[in-house]
Amino acid sequence: MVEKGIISSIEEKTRVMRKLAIDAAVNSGKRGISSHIGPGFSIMEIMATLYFHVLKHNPENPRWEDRDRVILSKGHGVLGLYSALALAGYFSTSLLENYDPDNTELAGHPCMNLDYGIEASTGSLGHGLPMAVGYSIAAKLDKKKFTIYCIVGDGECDEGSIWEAFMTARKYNLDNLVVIIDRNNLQASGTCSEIMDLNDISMKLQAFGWKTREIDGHNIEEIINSLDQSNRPTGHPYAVIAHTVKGKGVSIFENNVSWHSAKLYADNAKIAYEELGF
Amino acid sequence: MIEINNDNITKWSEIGERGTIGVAVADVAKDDANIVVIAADMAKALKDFSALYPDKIFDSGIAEQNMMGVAAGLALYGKIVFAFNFASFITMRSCEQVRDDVAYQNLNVKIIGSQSGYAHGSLGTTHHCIEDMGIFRTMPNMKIISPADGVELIKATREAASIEGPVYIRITGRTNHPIVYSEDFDFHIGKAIQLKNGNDITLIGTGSMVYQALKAAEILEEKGISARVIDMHTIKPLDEDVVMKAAEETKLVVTVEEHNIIGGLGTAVAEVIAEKGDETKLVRMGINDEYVHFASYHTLLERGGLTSGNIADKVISCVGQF
Repeated sequence: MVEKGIISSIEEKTRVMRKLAIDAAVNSGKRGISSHIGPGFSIMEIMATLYFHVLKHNPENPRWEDRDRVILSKGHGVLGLYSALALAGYFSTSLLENYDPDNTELAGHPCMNLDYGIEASTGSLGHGLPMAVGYSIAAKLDKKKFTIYCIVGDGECDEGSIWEAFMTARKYNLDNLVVIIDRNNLQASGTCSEIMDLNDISMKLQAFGWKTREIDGHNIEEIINSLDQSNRPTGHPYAVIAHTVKGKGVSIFENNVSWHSAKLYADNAKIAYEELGF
Repeated sequence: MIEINNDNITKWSEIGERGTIGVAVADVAKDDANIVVIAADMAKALKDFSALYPDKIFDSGIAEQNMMGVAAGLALYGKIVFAFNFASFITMRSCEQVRDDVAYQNLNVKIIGSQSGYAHGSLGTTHHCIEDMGIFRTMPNMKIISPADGVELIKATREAASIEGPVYIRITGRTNHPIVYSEDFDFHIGKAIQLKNGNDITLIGTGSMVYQALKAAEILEEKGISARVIDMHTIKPLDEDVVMKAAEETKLVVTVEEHNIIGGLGTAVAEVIAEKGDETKLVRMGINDEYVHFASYHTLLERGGLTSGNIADKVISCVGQF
């Protein structure tokens, strides 16, 4: 059982993170720039739980050698990453509240910036997981105790390099690597079932020698339990398949493929702020 | 560090650059515990390294994209990574991983492309690699070295390990690789080496073509043409000063490379001469933008005009014109 206070505290962080993401997106919209809203909102609870409960990290010392690492392989989920990093104190929330795409370190996909807590540059899909695997191999070689968390999209699993990396992680028994798959069943132009049916990811991963667990990716308690050290396997890489809703938290975004990437203007932002209680 | 002596030079010539790379990487690993190696079902080719450091060599299987991503991850952690595979696969199958994961993040990944150019001979065009320098030259942060022989490969590997950021080492030739350097010498990335002085024309070679250029210069000397020979081992950053000096002091510059004449050494030299506004004549020798049918390595070089005799003939025909 996870204490109710912990859950409600993370839920509140998630609410503020969604607000910060809206701030950034609406500032982009003013400049005619689209934002990946759906893919960021589906991972808000996952990112909040990582940064405000699970991770061993220190925003005051972002280059701390023994910190846990997060690599956002689905780089288009960047609003979920930036809002967590800002709220955790890696950089000022004003960088999102007053987001200026012409004067920012925060690109539309993560650009490695260790002082900002951004561990790797991603954006082209199928790249982050192989990097996380390499990172985990190096950490294991040096007998480091930290964990590498890698967030992979379900659409991203269309990429062959993801499955190549799944095999490599098993070969080297990377139990210092935790993969969280954002199973929102929507990709850029339609449902995963329509575009490229992944069927049962857990069974596929198990056939690849992984241990897996399926959770509700918006349920904080389930996320915490799935990432708890005592529930993680030894000697195997481990994947949490987090069933999520793309665009979660704002009715007009939810499960709507057109909000995968779109310009957010004041009218829709107003709806989002109201629904989030701002 | 391994000793550069006659015995070793002879041995490295016999096993070629492709055989020497394992020695070269094992050599640098002695001085730096942070060095690791990854290959894609090619780890056995680096047995000199794996025999000494079995825990520091990884194999991604036949999966070059993943290999390059894993290499980037190892480097993100802080390792100096040597990523090894055939040039055709490591530069093109994993091209986007090189761009995004290695070059963009400016990571310490040293990419070794073995059997570049026509070295795979009769295995066919799928295994040839005439595009790699052109592709990698367009990637910011990337340095490109094409050693002339085994000794220069040893020296280049040491330099690559000692500098920050990505380096591509392009391995050309086969076993019984001709010796260009018969003793130790100073090697610095971006600093070309003049192997022979000459006042009439300049031959600029890279990789396997440095030896051919030297032999061509001997033929030209007999014909009364004084040829300067330059080993342009670094294609990026290019030694522009050496190029301009040759352009100013000799009336013809000829570049020779086992690569498409588009995008590699010849193009890089042409850019320098054109931008400086010099009127020196330039001839680019290399593979003439075509995929050839398979044949043995030396036959492909002969047919492509990439032997000392062909180079000398070309120079003689051009000197008559200019």
